[in-house]
Amino acid sequence: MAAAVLEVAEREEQLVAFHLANEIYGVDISAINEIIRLREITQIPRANPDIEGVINLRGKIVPILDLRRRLGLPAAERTGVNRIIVVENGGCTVGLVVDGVTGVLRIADTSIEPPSKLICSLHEAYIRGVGKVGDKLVILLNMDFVLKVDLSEL
Amino acid sequence: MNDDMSQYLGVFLDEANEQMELLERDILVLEQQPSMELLQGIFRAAHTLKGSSRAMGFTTMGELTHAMEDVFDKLRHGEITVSGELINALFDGLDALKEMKDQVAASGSTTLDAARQTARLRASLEAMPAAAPAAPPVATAPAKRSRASGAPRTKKKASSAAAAPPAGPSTPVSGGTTILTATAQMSLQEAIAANYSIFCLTVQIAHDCVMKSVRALMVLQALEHIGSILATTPGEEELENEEFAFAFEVVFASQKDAETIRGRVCHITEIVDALVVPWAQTSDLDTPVPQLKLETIPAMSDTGSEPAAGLETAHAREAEEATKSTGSRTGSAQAQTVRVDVARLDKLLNLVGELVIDRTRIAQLGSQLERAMQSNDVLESLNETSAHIGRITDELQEEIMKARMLPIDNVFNRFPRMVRDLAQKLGKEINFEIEGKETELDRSVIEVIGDPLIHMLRNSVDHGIETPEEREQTGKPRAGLVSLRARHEENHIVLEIEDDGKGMNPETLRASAIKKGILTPEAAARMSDREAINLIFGSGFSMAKTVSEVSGRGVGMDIVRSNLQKLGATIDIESKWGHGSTFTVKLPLTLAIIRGLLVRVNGSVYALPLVSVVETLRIEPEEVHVVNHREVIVQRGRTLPIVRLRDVFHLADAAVCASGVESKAAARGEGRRRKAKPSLYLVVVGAAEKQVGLVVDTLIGEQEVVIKALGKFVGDIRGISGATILGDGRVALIVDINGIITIAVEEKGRAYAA
Repeated sequence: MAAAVLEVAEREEQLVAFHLANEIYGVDISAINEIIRLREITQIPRANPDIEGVINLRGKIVPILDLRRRLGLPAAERTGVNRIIVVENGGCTVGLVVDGVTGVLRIADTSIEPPSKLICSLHEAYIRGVGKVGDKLVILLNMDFVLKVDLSEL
Repeated sequence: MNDDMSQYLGVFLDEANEQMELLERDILVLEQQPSMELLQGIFRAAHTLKGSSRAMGFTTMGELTHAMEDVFDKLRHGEITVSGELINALFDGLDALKEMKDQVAASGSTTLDAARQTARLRASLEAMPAAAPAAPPVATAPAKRSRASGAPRTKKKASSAAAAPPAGPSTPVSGGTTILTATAQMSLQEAIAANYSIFCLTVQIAHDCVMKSVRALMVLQALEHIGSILATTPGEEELENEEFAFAFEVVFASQKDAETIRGRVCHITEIVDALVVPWAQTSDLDTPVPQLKLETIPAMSDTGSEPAAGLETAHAREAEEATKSTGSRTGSAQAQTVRVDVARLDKLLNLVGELVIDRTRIAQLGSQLERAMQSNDVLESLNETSAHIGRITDELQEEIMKARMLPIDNVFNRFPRMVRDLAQKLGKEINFEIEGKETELDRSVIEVIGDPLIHMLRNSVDHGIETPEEREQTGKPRAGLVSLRARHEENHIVLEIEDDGKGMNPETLRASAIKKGILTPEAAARMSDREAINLIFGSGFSMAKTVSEVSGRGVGMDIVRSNLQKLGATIDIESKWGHGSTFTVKLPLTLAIIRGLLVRVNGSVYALPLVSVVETLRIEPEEVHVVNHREVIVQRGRTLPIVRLRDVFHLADAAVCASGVESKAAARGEGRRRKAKPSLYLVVVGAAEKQVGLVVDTLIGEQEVVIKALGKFVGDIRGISGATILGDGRVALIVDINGIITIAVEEKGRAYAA
């Protein structure tokens, strides 16, 4: 009995799900430090255009990435629903601006499929896989690539 | 090295570092003006180093330091004299020691073979003609260091011998134990019995004294009047024959007090100082007796290795203990300091940085509340508390900054050696002077200032100072003078490197700039001499070989300048053709916190490092002229190029993709600018010789800002050196003045080409 529970737990992923241009995306919960409201972002002139600027997160300077822009999605008006997902990756803390956060999802390994061009238009490298939750599809992001500063090699 | 020792490795390396620095510094001084005091210090350093190396099991280091110690020992006994070859051999050895130490630091052991250096040192000992007889006749002198050659550590000094009560008749054995003669011992006992105090005097004779022996005899005579001399070191005969450096010691019995004795001795012409120490105190831990404690070191090793009968007395043991503790600094002094990990200090400073930000925030919230609410008691005490926190934070910040301060000597100490070696290599004679080495600055600055300084000093030695022959022809003294000075000036450290060499000729600099295509002849003609001299900082001038004949300098000065600018430092140069040059570097006290001038451009706040700000101006738009496709203003008769931060930062463009708040603010800013054509706020900034006026929207004020990095995700942004957090919690970017100027120049250039 206990072994079976363990087995199930192992084959399940916990994701934080968020909206971005009418689709649901998921990021592994362990990669996320916190989720904060949109706040004033200080632009950095002459920086990579995907970097929207920096914010002060309790005394720490955190760069903010416009995730729509990074993923090549159309820009949209910012509203009160927008959130910044603060992730930690490769020693960098980066904030990602998303349209809104849905919540935490549990998704079984078995329902995750490898990325396919048919499912979405994003560059394959950004995507780790696509999971099914009920009748909805969740795009799992590959954070290593999303946060790669120099995208020229893609 | 076994595991038990590894825990001491850090301490060993720290100490070794200190001793080696001391050795390097003092050996240099030794070459120029040897003195007994100096030799004692050097000897002690070598001795300590030898001991600790051996204790840690680094035998090669031990052997090498042993050889060096022997050299110092012979020197201080006047048996050999200082020579260029000897100094070179010592430096050779010291370099090998450093290399071994670095190996140990990196890997915990050293494989370096120092046999060559050790042999060279030994050879220099052999080759030296003995200035004093190797085994002086003991009987003729009341007390004397007799020593067998090749066994330098085995000897006693009069003072320590005297310190041991004459319990048993010690004989001057071949080991070379210097003792009081039987008569002197008798006198000592008699003197003690007769209630005389026994003193040990260390007498310093002026270095320019011509007749040392006369002075020494006068001292002895003066002393005879107020007591009786038991022994001298060196012996009276050597004193008469001037076989001593500039100091000698006297063991003396008197009923007078130390001050009186000192007074008598110091009264004599050309006596610089006299240290009078009651001999009983030589075993007293708390009394700093620099002269004596060094001298007791050999005594200690003697008693340890060959316990001569009659010397193993309580006093000898006490003396031994005294040396042990003085060897590793006195106990009380040690308790006053704590070694702190640098990372911890950095963390503390960061935390204080946070506090500084929050303090400002609290103060702002207080005043916001005051505006929103009726004044009441709670509000008042909030403001009081906030003001108090402000004061405490300021003080805390200051103290932590101080804790991070190191004397600039940490950087300077390696320069004398470098200058000496370089001068020797180039066949030049150079007097190198250092002033203000005690000036303190933050370790972040200390770490990075070394390389630019080395470069500048090399320049001065290599290209500034002429050869002795050239100097003589122009009526200058053969030896050139290079001075390195450091001093505090308000919130900065000012470093100056001055030489009395040939200086720079603005004409030749202009000519070679034209030849190299850096300048048009017209532009060169328009240049002031000062500007022309500053051409050496230009990147085109970096190759010395071709221009060194005419222009003298220019080796990598562009690199020096750009490295300095990265530190927020400015460099200035003054040069008089034929008379030498002075480089002046103005450094911030720390790289962690700077004073900044806050300005607003396009709705965002930027901080300009105050060190670069020359002045602020308000000008009318009509005052801006376009010359050669560049905007300039004429101010006090000079043309000042102006740079619009808005353009350099492409802010109009950036606003399009910015968040709603920002783009609205940007649009407002645009509108204002177009509509009213208001006056422009100009911040005149100077980066090295270049000055430009930066156009900003508004000036906000001056503030202390804590520098924070943008991080590797953002990477290096040209024109921005970092960020800081303002009192209201917002982020302001810190402008890199040099970056801005470079960008402006490039982009205008492109626009012109297109």
